[in-house]
Amino acid sequence: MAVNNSKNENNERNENINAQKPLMETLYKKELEALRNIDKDKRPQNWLMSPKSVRDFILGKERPIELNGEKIEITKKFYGDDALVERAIITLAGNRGLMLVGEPGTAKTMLSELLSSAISGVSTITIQGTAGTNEDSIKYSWNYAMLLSKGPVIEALVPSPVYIGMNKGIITRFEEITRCPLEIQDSLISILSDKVLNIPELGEDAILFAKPGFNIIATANTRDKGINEMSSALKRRFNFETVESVKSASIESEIITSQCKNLLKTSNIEMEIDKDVVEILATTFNELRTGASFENTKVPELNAVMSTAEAVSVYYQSALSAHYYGDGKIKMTTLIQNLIGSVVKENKEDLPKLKSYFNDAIKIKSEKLGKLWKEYYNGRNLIK
Amino acid sequence: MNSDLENCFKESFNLNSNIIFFPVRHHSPACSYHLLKVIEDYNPEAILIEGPEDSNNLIRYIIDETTEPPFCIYSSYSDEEGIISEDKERYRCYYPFVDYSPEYAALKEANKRNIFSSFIDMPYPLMLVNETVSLNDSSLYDYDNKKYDSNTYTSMLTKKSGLRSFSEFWESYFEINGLKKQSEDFVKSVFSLGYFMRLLDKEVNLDMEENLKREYYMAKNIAEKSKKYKKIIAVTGSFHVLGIMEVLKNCFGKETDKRQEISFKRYDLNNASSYIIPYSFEDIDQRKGYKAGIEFPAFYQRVWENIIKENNEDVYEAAVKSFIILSSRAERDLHNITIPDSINALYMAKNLSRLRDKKEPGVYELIDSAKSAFIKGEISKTNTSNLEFMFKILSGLKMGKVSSKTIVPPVVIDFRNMCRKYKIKTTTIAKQETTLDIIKNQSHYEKSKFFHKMSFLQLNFCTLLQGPDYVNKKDRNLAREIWQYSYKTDIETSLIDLSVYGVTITDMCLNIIRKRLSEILSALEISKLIINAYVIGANNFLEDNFNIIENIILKDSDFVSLCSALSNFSYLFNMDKANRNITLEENMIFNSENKDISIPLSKIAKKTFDISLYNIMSLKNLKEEEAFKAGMALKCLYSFTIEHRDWCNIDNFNDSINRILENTFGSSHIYGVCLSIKYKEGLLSLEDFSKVIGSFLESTSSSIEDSSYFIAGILLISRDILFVSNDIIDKIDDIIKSLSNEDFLRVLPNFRYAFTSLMPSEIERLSKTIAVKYETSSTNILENFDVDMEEIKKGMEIDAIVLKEMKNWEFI
Repeated sequence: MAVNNSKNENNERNENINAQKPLMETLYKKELEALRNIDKDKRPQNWLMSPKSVRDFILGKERPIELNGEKIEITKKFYGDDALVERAIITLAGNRGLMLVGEPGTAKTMLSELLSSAISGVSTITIQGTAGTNEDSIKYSWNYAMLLSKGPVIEALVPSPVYIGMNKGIITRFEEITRCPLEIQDSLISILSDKVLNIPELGEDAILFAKPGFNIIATANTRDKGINEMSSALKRRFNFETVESVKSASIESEIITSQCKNLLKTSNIEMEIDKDVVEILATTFNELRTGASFENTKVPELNAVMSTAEAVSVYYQSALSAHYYGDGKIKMTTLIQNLIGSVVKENKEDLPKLKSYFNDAIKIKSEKLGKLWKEYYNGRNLIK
Repeated sequence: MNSDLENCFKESFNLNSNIIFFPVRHHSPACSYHLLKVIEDYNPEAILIEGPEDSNNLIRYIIDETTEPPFCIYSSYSDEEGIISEDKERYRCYYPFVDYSPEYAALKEANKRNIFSSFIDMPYPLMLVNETVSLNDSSLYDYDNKKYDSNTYTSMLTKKSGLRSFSEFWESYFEINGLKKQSEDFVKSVFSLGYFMRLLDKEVNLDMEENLKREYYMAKNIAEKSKKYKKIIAVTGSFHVLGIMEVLKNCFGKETDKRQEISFKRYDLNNASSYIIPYSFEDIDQRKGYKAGIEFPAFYQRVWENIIKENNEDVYEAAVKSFIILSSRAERDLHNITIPDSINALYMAKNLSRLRDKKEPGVYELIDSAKSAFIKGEISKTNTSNLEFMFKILSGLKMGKVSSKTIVPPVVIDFRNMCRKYKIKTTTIAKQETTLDIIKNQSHYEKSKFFHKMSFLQLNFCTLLQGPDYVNKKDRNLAREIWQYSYKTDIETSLIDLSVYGVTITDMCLNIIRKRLSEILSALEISKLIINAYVIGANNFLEDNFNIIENIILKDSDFVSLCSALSNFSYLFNMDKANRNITLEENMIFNSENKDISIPLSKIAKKTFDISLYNIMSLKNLKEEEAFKAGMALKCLYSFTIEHRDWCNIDNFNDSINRILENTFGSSHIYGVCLSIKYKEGLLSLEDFSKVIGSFLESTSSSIEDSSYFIAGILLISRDILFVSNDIIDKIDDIIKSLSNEDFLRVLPNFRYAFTSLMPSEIERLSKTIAVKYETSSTNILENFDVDMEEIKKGMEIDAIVLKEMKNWEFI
């Protein structure tokens, strides 16, 4: 069982800001505290903050909040569709699960982490869905050594994340639910509708009732396996929210900037975000994704998923390279190399298309906007 | 509160003063609700309303008991004097009214109280000629409402509220919350909105001059009416209130400033007209209609009904609930919305409203709840039927009614009478289908004529799904017509637009046809127009316009167009003749009045024939690619000489053919056609004809393409030459045998084209000849065509039945 439900260890891990990817509740600890501090609104049972504060935590607040004399700015963490976040919060306060679907890299996981860390203060109660996920991972399993020595007792039971969520009244996350076999997914049906889990091994009366506050946030990407195979009975237990990729290049720039800032901070790299590079990257990704360039040139359609998450990764990789091998300034050649890496992930046939995009749209941009765009265009020979 | 704003508001809304201003946003239920309350409190003697002053004569019909919203005032202006532009275009504008329009509520209330009411805004044509607005074919009320969406102040407000659009902001703060406010507080909030919008617009000088003109006009009207009435309530857009007050003070107060007076350019009243037209929710919905931009009309209609019924207690929540229930009651197979889904949707809507600090859920929460609770799976193009359904019911299908006493343009009366006569439903906008037996049934034939007329007017009222297309000469053997039609209110408005062409639909069609005559038309186009005129029953068209039509033909120098026209005339003549032979009980398709068209038709056909001959020499200069079309035209001309020998001078025709053949430069195809005609006319012996063909094929063997074009030309007219002697077949055979594969493929299309002229029996005969030559059977030569299995089966069945019957009758 992957979940570590030992309280101390859990806390230790939560506090560890130096983790490669810090948890949302760790990263935004102060923001969460500040919001909880001023939260006067009604909150659903077992929620750590009211729905309004959850929304403010995810969508940001115009004015900073004071916490112990310090002004804490509540930043916007999820861009694109504010109403979607609001609907997601209301869904979680109700009795249906929340299913976030969308293309890879559209921040579904990030949103689910933000939601669970704001609502339950913990985003680690998670099942990672794979083809190998079995019913034990969803319900419970046994510590066999203890089972043999003591028989079926509660101490011998190894709870699953769903079990923990029900027991404590907190949010359980189910990542990539559609990667699990259909029958395994369906074991959630009764849990979600009846909110009880029978443990027949412990006797007839052994039933775990879900405490208020328990709910499930599942994510599924529509690119690979899709959600078509999900049973309609299970679908009925969820409210679906489709997370779409960011439409505007300027919002994409904001996302790249804020996420890279966090990534560099956790990597202990002191480096300013280069706005011009971000703009180039956001424009490239946006145009290649939407198929519409500012100059009305024909943009070829790539097989690769040109997600914002990929753009963040391209910037971060380039920044690391600049930090360790260069003078701390991102070179266009490095950026292009990382961009190529991101594109060829799916299909090598995308490379000539990328090159034609450079020869067309980027060429015009380089003539019009000069400077860095020119350098970017000149690096096109790396695309082979 | 800003002291200037406070003072201005007090001045505008003092229930003890002679004039009070009620600021509105058009189509707002909350404004209507409070307006009625303020009228009750203030007890005015007159209600003056922002609306076109030249439509005051329509108020009595608007308030008539039999008139039911949605309807609109339709204003049109024909710029015959060229005041607006040299193009002298026609302009139109709409003022839509729904049950919850403050303007409509005010008019109805004035009627109830038996007090004076009047529109005070500039008439639409006056706005146009004075460059106050340039909008055409859209709604002025919605043009005003759109200002809220683009104003700097409202954009700031929307952003600050965190809501998605100004409409959502308005719904939340002015509609939902507004209903729970005291009337004075509500009026103050709407007034303040207009005040600040104006303040920021003034800074950037946005459309200010245009607004000032309208405000001056309205102020002038208010000032005039205030001489007669002691207590006036002016219902105008919130944006204009301050402007009107200023003008009243500066220009019509005790101390007037002459410099601020505005004089208006005049227009000819005869060129303007306004009517009330019934409308549908579909037409006025922002998502579909383009002439008005009301959001979710059915939703706000329900809200308004709730307001009247329940007196503003949770009216929005009740409306949201009713729409959720409505959607779940829809066809389950299609939409699959269960009761738990509906409960979930209501839970979502109510809680979203709390999260968004709204007192009740509104239409935006309803849509969000449908998105969340009704869509199972990813939102994609194929998975939004439930959401689309929600949008559909939010838009609604309600149709308005307009009092039968109202002034309606004669053409609309004619249209409605026709619809009544032919039992065409005008109470629904759903598509309907009707099958008409145009040969046997007199009333069907009449109805068909009506459809043809409406179709000719291009109003999107009806489409001929199946039936004979006389104009394009397709499916002419069909005896039934299947029409699809759907009534939409904009058909009546379009008819009004066309009313310059006549007072009845028939007049209109005739005049439009006549107008088309003034356009630059070719002979072919005019011949189609003549058929068109006959189809819609315009029997005298050719006779009445003979000179114009003759001139058009005289001017046309396009041989192909002339010959095609000739073919159309011949077709029309034959049809007319055939119809004439049908007894009177069995109706005639074209000419119900039994008017003889043969005389003018023969006259015009003779003329066309002469002009065709005059232009025949143009065929000499054609390239081979163009020659196919011309060859067909020449064939039409030749057929015409055979069919109507008494209408044409055959000697002239033969002379022309001879002139073309005087030298053989130019197109081989045309050469082939002319040679064939000469042979067919007996001016060339069979022997000579065969020789000429033979030598042409031999001499041009180096240019195989020429040969193929030539053969196509020969076979177009005289296919029989193939069967007179085997010489020609042998020559063609020799040529084909000498070709390389590549050359063969190159000329194959031309050869195929050449042999398409052959009838099936001729193909059979030809294959036999070739079979003998190659000592094989004709079945081996004829290609197997791909035929659908079903067709083969059906054919075999028919064959069997026929064979059986023939045996029964002892034929075999």
